Parts: sequence; structure tokens; C-alpha cells
Amino acid sequence: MEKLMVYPYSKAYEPYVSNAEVLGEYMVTALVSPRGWGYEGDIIVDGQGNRYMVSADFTEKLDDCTCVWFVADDRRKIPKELLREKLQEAVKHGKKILYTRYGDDYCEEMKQLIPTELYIEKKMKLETVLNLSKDRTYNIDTPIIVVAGLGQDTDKLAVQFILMQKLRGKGYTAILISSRQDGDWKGVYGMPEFVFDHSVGETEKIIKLNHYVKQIEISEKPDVLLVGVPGAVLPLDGINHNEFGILAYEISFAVPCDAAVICMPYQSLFNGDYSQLAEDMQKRFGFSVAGIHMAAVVQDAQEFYAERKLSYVSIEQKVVDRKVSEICDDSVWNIRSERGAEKAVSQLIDILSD
Amino acid sequence: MGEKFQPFIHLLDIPYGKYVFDVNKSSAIKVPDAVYAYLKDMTNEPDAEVREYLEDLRARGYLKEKHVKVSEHPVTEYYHSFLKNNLGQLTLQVTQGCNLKCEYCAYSGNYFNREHTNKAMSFETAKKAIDYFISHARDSSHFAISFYGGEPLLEFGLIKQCVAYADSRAEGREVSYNFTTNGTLLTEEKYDYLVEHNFAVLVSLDGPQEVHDRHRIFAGSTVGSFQKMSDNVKMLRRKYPNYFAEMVSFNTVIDPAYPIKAICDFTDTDEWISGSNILSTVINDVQAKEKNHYSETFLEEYEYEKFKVLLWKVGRLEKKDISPLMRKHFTGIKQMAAFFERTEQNELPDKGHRGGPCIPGVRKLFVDVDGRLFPCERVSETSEVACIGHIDSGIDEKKALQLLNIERITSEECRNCWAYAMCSTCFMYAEDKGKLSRDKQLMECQSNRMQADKQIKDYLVLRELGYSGELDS
Repeated sequence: MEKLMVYPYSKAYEPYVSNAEVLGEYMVTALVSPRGWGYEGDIIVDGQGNRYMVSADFTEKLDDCTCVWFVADDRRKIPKELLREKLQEAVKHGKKILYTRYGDDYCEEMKQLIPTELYIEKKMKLETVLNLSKDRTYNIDTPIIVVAGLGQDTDKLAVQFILMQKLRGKGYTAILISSRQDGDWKGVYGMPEFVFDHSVGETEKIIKLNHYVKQIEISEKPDVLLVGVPGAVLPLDGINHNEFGILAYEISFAVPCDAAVICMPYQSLFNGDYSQLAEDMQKRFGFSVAGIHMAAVVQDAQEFYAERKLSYVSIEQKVVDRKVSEICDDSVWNIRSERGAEKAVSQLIDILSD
Repeated sequence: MGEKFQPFIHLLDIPYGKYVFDVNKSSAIKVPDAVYAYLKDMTNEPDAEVREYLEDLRARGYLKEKHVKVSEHPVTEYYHSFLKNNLGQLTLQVTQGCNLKCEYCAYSGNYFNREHTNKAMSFETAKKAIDYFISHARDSSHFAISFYGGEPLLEFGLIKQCVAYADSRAEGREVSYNFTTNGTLLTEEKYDYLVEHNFAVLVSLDGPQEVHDRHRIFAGSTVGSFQKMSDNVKMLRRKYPNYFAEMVSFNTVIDPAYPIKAICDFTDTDEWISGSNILSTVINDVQAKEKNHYSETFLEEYEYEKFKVLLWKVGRLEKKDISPLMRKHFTGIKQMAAFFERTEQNELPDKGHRGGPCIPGVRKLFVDVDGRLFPCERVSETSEVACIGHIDSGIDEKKALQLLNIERITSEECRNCWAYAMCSTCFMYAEDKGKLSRDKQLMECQSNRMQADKQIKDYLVLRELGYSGELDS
């Protein structure tokens, strides 16, 4: 069993701690966050009730681990020099390195600092069981639940993990192709790099992703596949365009969608009517919306009006719980609550069983 | 169209046509003269054509009668989380002392505010404030520390300690530092430090020497500060031209008792400030014991200069024709453009709050020398109502929420005001001898509405002439 430190830890990686079994032979022993990020002292509890306190002391926590996982959170930039310093320190202490900051411009430069014997490639070598033709897509027969978001930071990954675990708990073989590039774990595959690679043509990207999913289907033989959509699905305006939901569009051609869960930020004026959104999702992507997850984040309106920049602020779960119970609609959930997760999963099972 | 039909609108007549500002839709639409005339008095029955036009507008969601029913700022229900996660700027009052004695200064004794003292912030207090900032900024995309006085450079040693401490504690974040200075204490040693830490510096400069020295004199003397300040600033520009161009800007406080042309000419032509970013404000008289005196010449020249800015925005003048002092005098109209060019809303919410107040303790937090907390540095430090906590005990959420929901003291008037979303007054305007005064707040309403009316009209005229806020960003 490898003892794992997650660095630089942020809320975005909480799903891996809460669902530690997906990490397989890795056991989280330390969560370290740069002191300036404000997470120091936070307590994270995993599914078994184990408690982890977030530390800001990288050096001290190195003693508790055999492997450091360098992770990326799109919302939080870390100075390159600080990252390099920590990477070199971990290497100097002979720790194994998992490096999944694929989105950084300097990713390759950092990987060069890792000696081969310490570098861990966390990508599954999918066996090519079929000789797939490069110019066509294939049918995916397994039911697929798509998890997409109206904004970044709307709990997408947490929702994907919770749904996967709940489905597994009900005896289904649920496999997740997550919205992020965090490597491949037990029953969890990262969104492949080529999806984000601007040098890969759109048609090629769609076909390759279809093949990727097809191979997972063949090798894992799941009862249900969950697919996370990176980024946000709709532009908010010309400035906050969320890349116009292009990835969602491409994914919608690569894989069919039997049911979609849309994650949205908390809105105090939301009355539960998402019919317009559902129609949009159906028309644009062919996503049939099964329900809405309301995340405990809210758009910072003052920031938006002052600078036209979209940003989110975390709020308390109880505010969302209150709203969800006020709306009282079977398809509006807070999936982070036990009750919400149960409701969502039973609804999804009903839809997929039809 | 019954007798009781009372759409929530405001009518605007500009040389290019008649407009209806629809409060529910947050939108201004051009209407035919006959429709405008009917909406203006609504006593007689509209003729068939007008009726049809109005029906069409109503079918498109305009002319609703709805008003906000309950005064509550939308952030109220999650204010606690905003406080905990979203602080973006910390302003440290490192000293209450100043080496100048400017009579328009908020601390000169001419305002209902504290006066200059020789008190300085202790490093212990500063450290607590910086720690508070770090632990309350998790979701904030900004992370700025401002040093404020008096004259902050009187406590340059403390500033250096604070920067060293913040840099060590805020690992993983880029901290931006800034301060406003009278410029008289800048030295070569300080230049190097400011450049090394990429400080944004705002230098107070009121105009040419004869204007600047009118108010900005050294304490305990009648000697003006212009010469000293300009020598220092020129030296900084010579030594670090690139830094100067990027990080140094000027703030001009305009005394409306005097003509403005001399200031405009100076900022336009004087070599050592040419190309610099210049902000300007008229002397603030919100908490002043005496209100500003506006000379006739000033008003004439000021309005003329502002008019030139409008002509520049529609391409009738060039940028070079506009005094740098006035180029920023477009913020209000730009905000108006942003307001009208964003997506329309369907109607006002049931619960809402007028424009104006910031979210106390969230976008910025001001800490005075004693560790008392205020929403910003512009409020009166002697006001009991403005003090929202102490660095040892944190923010008193109950008090802060009262400031956030300032509309509640004038709830009915606000909810019936067409300029609801455009109001620009915070609790500062209602503060009277340490309490929130409904009467004092209401005294601001007329001028606020007049300003909103003028800004909408200016914007609509510009729009008619081809101006687009989107293209002007």
C-alpha cells in the first residue's frame, strides 16, 4: 500500500478523499495545501469516518507518505516556482511521484525533473480488443449517465463519484469516465488528454473519444457508464463564454446519453422550473435531463457586475438543503446529501430501466 | 387599460426621441410620441393606436406594475459564507499621522471623523489582520493589501514588516500591494523597495504648484508640498521609467471653488506626468461639516470638459483633445452602458435590495490602527454604526447585516423609486452622529435620481450616436 500525499490540496480533490476506495492500492495519509489558500486546519472525513486535517507543512508531511500526487485545480493557480520547489523536495526524499497537472504549459518541463524510477504513470493501458477503424464511431450499448455543469466549481466531480458509489452500492457495475484529467483509478478513468488538445481536429477527437469509451465498455463490461463533461455546457455571455460548451458538443457525438444530471450553482430565485434548460440541453446536445443538482456555491454578483468576471463563492450546504426542500420537486436534488443522492439514483435507475 | 394601471416606469425625453425606462425589465425602449404622451399623464383613455402599442409592449413583458415586496439584500442568506470565503482586499491603517495638513482631508478636523494623531498600528495587530485575510479569502480571485494613513510612508518600516509577513504566510498566492501617498517621503531606498515588490502607488497631485499648494501644505507651516513631491516623483520616473509607467498613477482632488482649466492644462502638458493614469474627484463633502462651494466658473468649465469627453466617445473629438484629468470621467455612463447592455430581466424579484451598498467586510476590509474593523477607509472612524468589529473578535455579523440591508430604513420609498437599481448611496449617506438616520438618507434621494436620470439620458444620446459600451471596453 502506497501512502499518498495530495498536493496542492483544494476542495476540488475532496471527492478522492471521501471515496478513498477508488484510489485502490493508494491510501491518503496527508493533504497539504499552500498556506495562502486558506485550507490549513480544515477537516476532511472519508467514507469510513477517518478524519484528515489539511496541513500547510509540506516538509513535515513528506515523512508520512511514500508517494506525492501533484494535482491541478483550474480555479487556483500555484506559482510555478513553488511547485518546482515542492516537486524537487519530494524527489530529493525519494518519494514516488504521480503528476497529473496535464493542463499546465510547463507540464513536460516539470515531468523532466522526476527520475524515471520515481515517476508513476497513472493511466490504464487499455487492451485493444478490437481493431477499431479510425474513421468511424461505434455504438455504445451500455446505458450512459452524463454529468454536466452550468459553471465550473458546481460539484461535478463529487456528483460523479457519489452517483457511481451509490450505483455500486445497489449492485451495479458502475464505471466513471470523469470530467477531469486526474489519471486512471479503480473504476474511474480520467478524461483523455487528446480531448483538451487543440492540435487534434474535432472529428478525430470525437472518434478517438468514442473509441476510448468503447474500449472501456469492452474491458470493464459495466452495467452503467457515467461520463463527466469537462468545463461548463453553456456560455453565460460574450465574456464568460465557457468555451461555448464545445467539449459538451463533441462528447455528445462521441457517446450517447440516456440520462443527464446538470449541476448548477445555488440561485435564490430558482423555483424548480428548468424546462427551458432541459429543452436547450436536448436540442444542443441530445442530453435528456433527468434532474438538477444544486451545488453549494453562488455566483458573486458584485464581482460580475464590477468586472464582468464570473466567479463563485462557497456557501453552506444547509442553504441548498433548505432551497431543495422548498422547491419539493423529485428531480431537483442536493446530491451531496444522503437523501438527495438516494433520490437521484433511484430516479436515474428508473429512467435507465425504462 | 383601467384607471389603476400603474406601470413601474420612468419617462425620458432626449433630443433623439422619447424613451421609457422599464424598472421591471431593466431596459430602456424608444416609444412613439403619442405613447409617451399617454404614459406621461394617463388620465385620458388611449386612442386605438396607442392602446395597441401598449398591448404589444405588455405582451413582450414590459409595463409591469410589480415592485419589490420585501427589502432584503440577496447576499443576506449566505452572508456568513461570503465573509468566510471571499475577502479580496485588506486595507491597513498603518498610521493616523501625516506630515501634511490639507484642509480638505477627512482627518483635518473639518469632517465628522477622527483627526490626525500620532498613533501607529502595532505589528502584532497587522499580523492578526493579515492572518484574518488569508483565512477568509479562499474563494476570492483578488488578494490585495493596501496601506493607508495618514501618510503611510511615515511607517515604512512597518510596511516592510507587513510585506515580509504576508509574503511568508500567503504561500501559493500572488499578493498585490498598494498605497496612496502625498509623495513627499519617497526616497531612493524606498523606490528600490517599491519596485522590488511591485507596489501600485497612487500619488496625490492636485495640479500645478499654485493649485496644489493651495491645500497641500506641510503640517505646522504654510509651506506647500508641491516642490518636494514633484522632485521625488520625477526622480522615481527617471530611475524606473517602466515601473513608473505601469504602477504609478495620480489622484487629483478638485476644489470646486476654483476654475478647473489650470488643472486640465497642467495634466495635459506637464512632461513628468504625461502619459500617466490620472484619477480625479471633487472634494468629498459627505461627512463634511460644511458643504462644498461651487464657483460659477468651475461649473461652467467642468461641465464643458465633461461634455468634451462625450464628444470623444462618439468620435467627434480625439483622445488628445481630452484632458487626462477628465478621461476617467465616464465611469458612470459606462456603468449605465453595462446595465443596459446586459441581458434583460423578466421582472423585479419579490425580495430585493436597491443598488448602493457594498457587502461589508467582503470585497474589502479596513483595519484601523487599533484593530477596529470598518467596511472601507472612506467611512467615519468615529461612527459607532460604521465599526463592524475588531480584529480580535472578528466581524459582528448582526451589525454588518444592518449596513448591508440599509434599504430597510427607507424601505417603502426605495421600493417605489424608479432608480432602485441605480442608487449609489451606502450607509455612509445615512450616518448621522453614529446612528443610521432615515431622514438623512432620504435627503440624498433627489440628487441621486437626478444623477441617474442624467446618466441614462447621456447614455441614450450616445447610443443614438452609435456608442457601444461593449466596444468601449
